Amino acid sequence: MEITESEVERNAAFSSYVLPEIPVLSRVALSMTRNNSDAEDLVQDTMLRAYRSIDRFDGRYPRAWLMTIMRNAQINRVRRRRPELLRDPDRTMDEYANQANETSSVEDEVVDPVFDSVVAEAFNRLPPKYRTVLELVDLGELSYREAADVLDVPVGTIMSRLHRARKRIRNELEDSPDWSRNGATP
Amino acid sequence: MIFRSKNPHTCRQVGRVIQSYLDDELDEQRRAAVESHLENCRNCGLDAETFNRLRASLLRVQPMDDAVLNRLRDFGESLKQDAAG
Ligand SMILES: [Zn+2]
Repeated sequence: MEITESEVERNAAFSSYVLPEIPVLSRVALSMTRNNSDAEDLVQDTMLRAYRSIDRFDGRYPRAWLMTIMRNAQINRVRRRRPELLRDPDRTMDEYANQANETSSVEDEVVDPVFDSVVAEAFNRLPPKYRTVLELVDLGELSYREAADVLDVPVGTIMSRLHRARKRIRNELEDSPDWSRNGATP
Repeated sequence: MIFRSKNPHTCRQVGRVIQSYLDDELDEQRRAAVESHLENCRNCGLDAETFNRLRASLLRVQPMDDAVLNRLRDFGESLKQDAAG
């Protein structure tokens, strides 16, 4: 079967805009779904939708474009399912704590499992609109402008939600009796 | 003792923009002002360090499972092959 010129172009665009973003997409999907197999499904769904609509994509800010697709895909998925099955905060907290313990540090920094579990728990308790912005900027590595485009809100809104979200987590760290400031004090 | 000459920004001012600074969202002039403040202020330095650790921590608890990533890459390649017939 003959490969048409538009198919060649579409495949090339898919290779350069979508495939390199798989790790970042997976990270955000995992946060959105809080579940490994759902995250994998969500990224697949996102890639499929991206492939189908890539002809209409102008090539600017591919990551923000993909995050928008993924967010919409996730919203559709949530609508299809019973809400009580979707999020099990207790299980996720345990998973996060385990993951924090299992993950060894590749970098030189001191990895403190207590610090990580306090952060994970505080992150899980954030109201959705704060959590979403953290997902887009810290996990999805979008700029403020890009995140604003994805959520269709002003940049100032992104900034205030993001900064408040991080301060909430920081405050929980400060309130946590278990967290020793090993890395922060000499 | 007042450190005005070395710290034209107050801690409060820096506190308002420190996250934007760490996210690389400040213009050159404000970035430089925050940087020079951080050189001389231990408290704001600790603040910056906490925010940096916070982000690193968020990235750590979202682990990348290589097997899953490889499956997803294969899936992506298969979409292209399907289109090629
Ligand atoms: Zn200061």
